[in-house]
Amino acid sequence: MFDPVSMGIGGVASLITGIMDARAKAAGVQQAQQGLNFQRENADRQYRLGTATRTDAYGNQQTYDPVLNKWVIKLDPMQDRIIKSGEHEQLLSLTDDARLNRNVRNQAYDRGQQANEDYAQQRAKFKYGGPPSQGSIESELQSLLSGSAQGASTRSLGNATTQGLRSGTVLPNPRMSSEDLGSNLADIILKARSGAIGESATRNAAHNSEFLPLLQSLQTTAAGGGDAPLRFSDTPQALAGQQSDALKSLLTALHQGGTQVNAANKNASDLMFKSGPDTKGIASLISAISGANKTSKADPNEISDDVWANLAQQFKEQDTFGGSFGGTNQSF
Amino acid sequence: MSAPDAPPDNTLAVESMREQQQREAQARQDTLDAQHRTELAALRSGAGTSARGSASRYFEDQGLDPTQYQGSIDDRINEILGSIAPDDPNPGSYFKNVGQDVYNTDETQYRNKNERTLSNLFPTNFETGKISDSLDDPILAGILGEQRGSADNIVNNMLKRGVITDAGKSAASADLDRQSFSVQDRLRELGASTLASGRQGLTDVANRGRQAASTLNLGQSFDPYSYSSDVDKAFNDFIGNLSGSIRAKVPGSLFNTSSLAAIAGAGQGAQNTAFNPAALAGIIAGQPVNPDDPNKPLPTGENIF
Repeated sequence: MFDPVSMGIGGVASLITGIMDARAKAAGVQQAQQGLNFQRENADRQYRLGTATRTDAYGNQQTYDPVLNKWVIKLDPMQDRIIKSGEHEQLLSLTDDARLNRNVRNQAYDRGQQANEDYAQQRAKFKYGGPPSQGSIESELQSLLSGSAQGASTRSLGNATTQGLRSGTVLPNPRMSSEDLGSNLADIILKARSGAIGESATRNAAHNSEFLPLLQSLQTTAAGGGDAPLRFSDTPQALAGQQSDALKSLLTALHQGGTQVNAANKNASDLMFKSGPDTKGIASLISAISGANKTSKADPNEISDDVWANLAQQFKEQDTFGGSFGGTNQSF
Repeated sequence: MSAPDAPPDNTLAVESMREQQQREAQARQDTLDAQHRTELAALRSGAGTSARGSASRYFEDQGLDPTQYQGSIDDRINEILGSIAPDDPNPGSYFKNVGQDVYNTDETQYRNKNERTLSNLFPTNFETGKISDSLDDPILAGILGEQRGSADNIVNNMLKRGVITDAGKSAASADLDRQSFSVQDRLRELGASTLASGRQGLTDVANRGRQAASTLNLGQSFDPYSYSSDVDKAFNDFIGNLSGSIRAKVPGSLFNTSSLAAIAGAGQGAQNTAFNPAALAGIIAGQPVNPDDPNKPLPTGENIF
């Protein structure tokens, strides 16, 4: 059974609840708008910070010119002199020094060419003019020792024979003398071998010490590199690094500001799509009143209209959404 | 009042004019490019000509006739020209020291060629192949036979004089056989060192040739076969003197005969031989007696020493 009193009480309650809900959502939208404004200011501060004039410990200044879109460097007078002096030295090193170095290198090349020929000569002597073999030395020593022993034996035999003839005593036996000499052959061979080992080692060492240091020295000279390395300018690398650093810093600042503004915009738009009056209570109330005495003048949309108009105007000024939200609450 | 005529459509004419301008610009650019290429080709050609002159002068400065090396010079210059980029505006910089480069290359090739010829003539260990280890064997055998023959004569004379018996001779000969091994070893040592000396002589000749070949200057005459002749001459000289060289190292009798009588006596055992005055006088039994004094040897008697 229809009870208009109960229906009216329920409608009023729903109306009050809808009004309070609309107020709470409007307050959320205002907070989101404040957050958006804060992030815009923050991004602006970051941009200003990224393009702020930078001054180092020497007083050098690096300033961004937004009109010309370039960085302007203003050097401290002392630093300016230092850099220009360095540039001057660098220029000299690439002109005068390089020319002198080139002369030095050409002279080193000429020396190297001559040393190369000398090296070939000495190398040939070292390789093909070595000492005789140990066997050859041993043969020489055998001949020398054997000849010496034979000479001594002959002299001894002659002296003993002369003495025996003069004194009428026993004459020496030539065969025994020859056999005594022959028995020394093993000793002669041993001495010759020992002597050959030592002499061969000594001659080889002398041969090496005569040629190897000389060859090494000639090899170094023949390399012809000299001690005057060429120097090249590092200005292109320095400039490239400087520009890269500045660009990276600026892009980072812009990216951070843009990201935060976008996030704030999204937050605000989400809240706006969700906000709006709850008309369920109003519909119930109108239905109840029209069904009873039709005397109510309540207008629960009054506050929401102001909020919608305010927000729409701000978005229109910002043109954040490309004008698609440029109307009033009816557009929503 | 009639409506104004529509403006004429000149789109086709304008497009045609634009294309004509493009064609003319392209033609101008092509002409410039062709001129540039011609200039670069002239630069390259001029650089090559200049390099040929420079190389010829370098060879003349070395006392050589450059025409004899023109092929090498042209090859090197063409090689350099081929390595220069067609648009390189400074081709002359690639020809620096070209004369010296060609000279060094030809000189190295000349040296290598002669060194290779010598290597073929005198391969590794050629001296060992030419003077082998067995080359002195006949000489050593001859010396050993002579020495042993002299020692055997001592034994035979003792036998003939009756100092030893046949049994004693056998014992003495056996001792000489034992001594032969050590005598042979000593002779072999002498022979080996003498052969090493001969090999060194051949190596010295070959190394003189190698040294000369490895330091040859371009244009210097060189005959590697002359060293081959020198090696043959050194070898023949060595062979001719080999026997004398080894014999000169043998100081005396290599067999010890002083103890042969005692060895023979020990071998034959005790015996009681009748006194023979002729033996005391050194007269060998069976020989003619001195008619003046039978107890004295003949004036031309054999000396047992």
